[in-house]
Amino acid sequence: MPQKSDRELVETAKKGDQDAFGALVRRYQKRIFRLSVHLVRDAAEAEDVTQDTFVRAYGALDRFDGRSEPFTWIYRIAVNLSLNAIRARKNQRKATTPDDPRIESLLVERRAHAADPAALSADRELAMALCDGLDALSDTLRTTLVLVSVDGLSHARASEVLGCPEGTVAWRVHEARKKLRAYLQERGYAEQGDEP
Amino acid sequence: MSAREDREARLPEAAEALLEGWPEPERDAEFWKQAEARVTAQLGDVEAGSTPSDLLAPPLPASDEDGSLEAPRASPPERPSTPPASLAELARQAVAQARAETDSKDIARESLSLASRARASAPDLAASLAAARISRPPESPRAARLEGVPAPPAPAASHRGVFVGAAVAVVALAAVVVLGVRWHNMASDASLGNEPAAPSAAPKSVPVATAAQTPASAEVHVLSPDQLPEHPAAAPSPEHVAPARAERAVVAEKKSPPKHATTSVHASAAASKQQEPEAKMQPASGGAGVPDHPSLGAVQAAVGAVLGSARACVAGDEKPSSAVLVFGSDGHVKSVSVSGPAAGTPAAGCIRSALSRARVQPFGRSSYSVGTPIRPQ
Repeated sequence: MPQKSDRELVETAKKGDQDAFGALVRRYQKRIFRLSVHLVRDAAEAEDVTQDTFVRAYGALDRFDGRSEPFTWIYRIAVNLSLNAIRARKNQRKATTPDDPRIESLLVERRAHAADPAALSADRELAMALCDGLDALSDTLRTTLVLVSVDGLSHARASEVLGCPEGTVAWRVHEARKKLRAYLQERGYAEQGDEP
Repeated sequence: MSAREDREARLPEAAEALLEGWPEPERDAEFWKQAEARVTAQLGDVEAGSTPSDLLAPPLPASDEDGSLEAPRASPPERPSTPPASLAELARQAVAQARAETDSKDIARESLSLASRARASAPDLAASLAAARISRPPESPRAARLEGVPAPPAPAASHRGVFVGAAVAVVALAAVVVLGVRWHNMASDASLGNEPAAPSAAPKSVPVATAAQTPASAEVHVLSPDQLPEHPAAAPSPEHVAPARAERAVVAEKKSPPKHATTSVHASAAASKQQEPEAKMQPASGGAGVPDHPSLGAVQAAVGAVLGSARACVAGDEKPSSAVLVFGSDGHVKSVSVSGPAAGTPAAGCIRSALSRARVQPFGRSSYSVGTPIRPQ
């Protein structure tokens, strides 16, 4: 049986079919969780955000007007909830630790492909520097970069999620990458041929 | 984006690979099942409309630190389609602006004054205007305002009108420049929402690509490897686009015969550029106004997102194979034909399976074919 499209699932869910909405949850919960992990930087909080995202989306189904894709609409809710969670924190995180959920997911994946402990260690250090660099960005730049570079959304899709022009998305990604590059260079991660 | 800007934003290779290949958090199937169950268990208690509207609003409003790559601030803003009616109109607009700078006001007033002088310097015109004034009262506030402008006495020498005319032209130019600068500033202050969406994926160069074996029946567009994102394996979906790379990407439109096409792509690139903003405005489900064929960026992104999986199918091969994808008008891949070393081997099925996941937006034609080489990883 052919898989139903997101729009079909939304339309069916609007009529009260919770199974249809469950299919949407299955389809996007991993990506929403990864997005939330990168934004809130805490696995438990990201789980809450992911769960809340779908519950809130269900509660707003009647306001989904179909002008955007369902998943960009769900993404927008996830980003809003993640930013709310960050703002609600009393103390901000200072530095990336090895148990950071982002590092953990990366290293699990790397271990499956590389047996060289030295390479893994170098990967871990670079990943931590990268996470620190990401955390040093403003919420605006970081969120945009995560959506585009980590999650792989096109500029057009990211602009739908963020509600800004594609040109702004492109500019934010460019700025974020420039800052990230400078951050990494300061820590000795320079490409060959780069000026020190 | 220029090559220099691209370089400025390029991370070290290892960091780039980490960033774009960041995996989804490792959780077992049971975790996801339970997570789904937790959500669905709550759905029964959720009332329609219970979600606050602010969660549906754009999360990060444009800030002062925002800029735009596609519409640099130095470029002039889009002008209104109907130009101002006259020099006096221009000047009045300048004066009427509450936030006008003193300089522009002075120039505008000077423009009005000079316009009146010019009018007075043409005796016939002045006479007819005077007659018109006597015969009827001003019809509009605009006319009333114009009449309120103090006119200097008429010049003695008739050729003076020529000089005044030239002065009017100079002042008109100055007024246009001032208004242009002010419009530009206003556009910069406002939200960037009116800027044209643009084409981070617009092609800049015209490389030529060739395909190995392609069906002779249809027009096949060929993607060269350089045109595609380099880390497609990390892409979780067809939306995975590396825009900075896509900027370098070009699709060479291949006319028949299918082999060794060397056709320039200026025309197709321009057409795609024009269609991209339209495509953005279309509903995803097609209908009237659907683009004739998928845009360059969409095809590159779609193929690039699945190419990594396809390349993995031929890992270990010495020579590249090639594949032709035929997209149906619904944006799904209708068929994939594989040629080269992988043809007739299990790898061909693997390639078909990988490339069949590519998706583009619906388009008008019945089908759209794209050829791409599959180089071993």
